[in-house]
Amino acid sequence: MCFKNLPIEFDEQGRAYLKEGVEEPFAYKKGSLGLVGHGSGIPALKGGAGGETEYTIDPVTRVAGALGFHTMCDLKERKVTEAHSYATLFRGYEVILKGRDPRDAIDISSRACGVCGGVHSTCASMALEMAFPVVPPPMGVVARNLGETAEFLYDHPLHLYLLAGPDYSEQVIRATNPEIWEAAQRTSAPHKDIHGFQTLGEIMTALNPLTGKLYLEALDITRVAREACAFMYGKYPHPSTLVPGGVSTLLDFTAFNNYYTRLMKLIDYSKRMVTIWDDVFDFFLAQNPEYAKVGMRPKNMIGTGCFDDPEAYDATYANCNEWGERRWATPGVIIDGELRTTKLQQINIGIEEFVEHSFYDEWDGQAMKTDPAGNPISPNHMWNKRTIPKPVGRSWREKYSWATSPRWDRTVMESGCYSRLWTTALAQKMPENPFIVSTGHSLKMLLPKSTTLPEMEFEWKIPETLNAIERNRARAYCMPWMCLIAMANVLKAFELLRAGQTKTATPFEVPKKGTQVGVGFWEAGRGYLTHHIIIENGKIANYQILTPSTWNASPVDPFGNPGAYEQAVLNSPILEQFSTPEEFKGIDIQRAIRSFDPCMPCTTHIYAGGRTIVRDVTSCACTLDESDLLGSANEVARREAVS
Amino acid sequence: MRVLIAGVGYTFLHDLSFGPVLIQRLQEMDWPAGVEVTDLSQSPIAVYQQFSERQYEKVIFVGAVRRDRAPGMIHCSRPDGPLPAGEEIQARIGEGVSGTVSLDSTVIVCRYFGVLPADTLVVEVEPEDESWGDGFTPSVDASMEKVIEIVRREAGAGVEV
Repeated sequence: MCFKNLPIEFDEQGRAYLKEGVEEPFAYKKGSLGLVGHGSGIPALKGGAGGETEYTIDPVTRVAGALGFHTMCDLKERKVTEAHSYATLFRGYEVILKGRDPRDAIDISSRACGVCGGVHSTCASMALEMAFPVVPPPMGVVARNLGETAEFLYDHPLHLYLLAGPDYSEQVIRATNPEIWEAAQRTSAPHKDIHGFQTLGEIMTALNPLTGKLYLEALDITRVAREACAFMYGKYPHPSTLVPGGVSTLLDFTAFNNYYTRLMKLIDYSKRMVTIWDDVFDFFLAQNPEYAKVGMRPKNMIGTGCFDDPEAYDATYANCNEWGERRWATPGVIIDGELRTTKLQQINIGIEEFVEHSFYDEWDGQAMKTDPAGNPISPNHMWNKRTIPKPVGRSWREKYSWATSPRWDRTVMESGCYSRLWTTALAQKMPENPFIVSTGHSLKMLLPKSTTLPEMEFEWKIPETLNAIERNRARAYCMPWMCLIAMANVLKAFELLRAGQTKTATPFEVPKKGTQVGVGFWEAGRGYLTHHIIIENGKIANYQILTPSTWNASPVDPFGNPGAYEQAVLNSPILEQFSTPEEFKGIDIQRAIRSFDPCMPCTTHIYAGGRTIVRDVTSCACTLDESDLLGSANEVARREAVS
Repeated sequence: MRVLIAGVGYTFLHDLSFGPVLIQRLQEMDWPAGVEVTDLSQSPIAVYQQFSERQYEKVIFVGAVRRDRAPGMIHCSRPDGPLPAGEEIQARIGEGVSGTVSLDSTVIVCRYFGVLPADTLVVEVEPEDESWGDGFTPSVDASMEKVIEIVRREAGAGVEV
């Protein structure tokens, strides 16, 4: 059974239909914030009247963009009793895109994120490919796979070393858990022969922000990945060469050789990355098994998959189940650790987006009763959703976030690169290749000899629990996985070049009349991504972007279920050492949140009514006074002022 | 003498586009040998990595930065004072790798890594309209010629007639 909560069933041919006799199939009764999540084991949220300490992080630092988090903590019992995740800025891209030429979606949506620009451009291109329609040639698909693996290879070390990594650094551990730092200095690193650090203490010192060897090395490696991406797309992070029907870059042997050279460096780096993080996380769990509860939540995950097989991808919705299952990263939904589906249509029709606790108005009407294949969809599905911003004062019992509450089969889901890895390992559907094997319980990877290290084999095993450590560990394993997908696609590119199949794009025409519908299914480095589009008479009538962080950062849904960050924090024990509430730093809460790799909008646009979009920035520039930049007045050599 | 003139800003955000738009104007002009004019509206990390490979004797940054001064006001400074605390630098690096383009972060991150020459000048213009769209407000538009004059003089190019 695919759906347990939605009234959708399937006939013998696999076609979905609404259960008979249900009068209003998608109607729902709204719960309240006081309700317990269904079957999630999550404690009820409460008012904090029992002497708890209020602990609010706003902004949550070392995440991309603007996220705030409010908690009530019982420091005596060492637990979190109340948790609210709130996105503090609005992504107005859906509003900006309405009424525009559909091609604008590629460049404009790219600006939704400073890390995932290529991801959004790709997803928008694919939505247009489906709507127009146009099918890219094999080399176009391969180039896209290579550009996107490079983009993910930028994302993963960025997060693990620059954003989440400092949570496990000497600086942080000494301040929050000195007993662990003491042990770390005495503990030999199991993989020292590979990564070169003799003790866990040495690794933690290298993770120190600004000065640590691993922190600084990660800055350098992001450049290598950026360069690889630029060889496929011309530039990064906002490529201008992604088009419906492929890529407009001219690609030859030199471009692929340049990519390959960088890939070898990244493979080398990935071998050390896996062993470093295995050492760190195994050490933490050995020191205190309670760390397995930090960030824990039910194993409910969703992803669209990515990296197409050029022989399978035809850009149609009718065949998306088939080409989706041929992807290098398998699409899928996992509920309680079991793979529920790998079919893109079932993933798509099971999604609804709710706004009861978000700064939006609900919308009337339902533009589409079914998807293009005739499967029923909810009025709350993205093809029916309308973005109607309605900023009001923040209230934990009413509206408190600019994030919405997407749900699949009305269940709280999360997404990340780890869900992509998890689904692919469970599904055993990835293309045959010499490097990666999906076993149903693990993903085996054979890494070739690289710049400094010999051929090596890694196996990521599906963990018992989904928690902060396992999210981050899986992220480390995603690095060699992405390298190997890139390697397989480089080989495919050389094969196509040898066969003279060098065309990277298929010409297309923008329909000027009628209604066209499309959806792009392509994951971000951080997980699930879809772009849903409806085109009417050559203009965008509706455009909806659903990102991984929308899933993860969601507020409570109308049924009373907290979002994924909220659940993860509510389940986290407080393990740091402190004597007084003033010493409490909340590191375990922060580890839980950062393990998702939150990606809130980096530079966003706030809708201020009257179709006005004004810009706000998360940069500190507007809150600086001159002395921050200039040091002091006497260091200002010269000022000239005119008005 | 190797001199770099670099614009930093966001395109299509009205006055915040000052840096990149100015660079387009400057690139159409004649410059003495050794003067490069480029748009560095990129991640501060990418900028720092470029500076670590290519040294200059003088760098002139230009961009619009909101500091609640009179709209269109030009402010020139030499950023050679103490750097912000480590936590702030770390936050700016985090923002930078996440894609935020910021003149302040560019200068601070590059200074932290020691890749800017002692002779670095920052020319800022106070923006008025930061909303989505093309073109400048009259106050910022009016400052353009003066900024060009300052930049050309600082780069040793003289004022172009």
